[in-house]
Amino acid sequence: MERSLRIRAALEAVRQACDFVVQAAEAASLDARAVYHCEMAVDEICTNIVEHGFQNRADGTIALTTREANSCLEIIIQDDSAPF
Amino acid sequence: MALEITVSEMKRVQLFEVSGRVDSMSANELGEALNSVIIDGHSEIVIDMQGIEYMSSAGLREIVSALKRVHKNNGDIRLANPSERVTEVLELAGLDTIFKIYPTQVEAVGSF
Repeated sequence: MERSLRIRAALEAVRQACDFVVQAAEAASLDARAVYHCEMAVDEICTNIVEHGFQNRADGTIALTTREANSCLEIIIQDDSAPF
Repeated sequence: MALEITVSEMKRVQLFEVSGRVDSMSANELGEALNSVIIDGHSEIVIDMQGIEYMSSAGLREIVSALKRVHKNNGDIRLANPSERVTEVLELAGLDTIFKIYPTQVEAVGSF
């Protein structure tokens, strides 16, 4: 199953991304520890995108997609900030 | 759960009981609370983490920043009761070698 979410690239919106990936991880039957790891990874990545990619300008977007495949959860995060 | 911070003044120690989520939105609040007691001249602090359900690197940055400040005054910040998840985060960041961590609040407070 594939799920998608787009958020504003702002710290206030990062929590939405976390909740989104927790839902997807739980739906994929990941154990509690794995769910936590997914949440942390997404939190840190999105926070870095906001703070370093967009330098807290809040005028960009972050797109998240999750896919379940072969007992794994794939999480794809894309943003339109300037390349590093 | 939103972040809740309760600060109690004990004989030798300022006790912080923190619960909820410490992330990039709320970490600043914890940092400001720590800074406030440090500015008031307190350098022995215990943070009881039993109620912290989630902590990101933003939270870690605040407690490390506070630790550096109290160290300048020969003080310390000691941690009590971190959950398994928070302990994992502390260990991942190598902070278990920088902070003294105790299984109970009583032990952490008594260590000063």
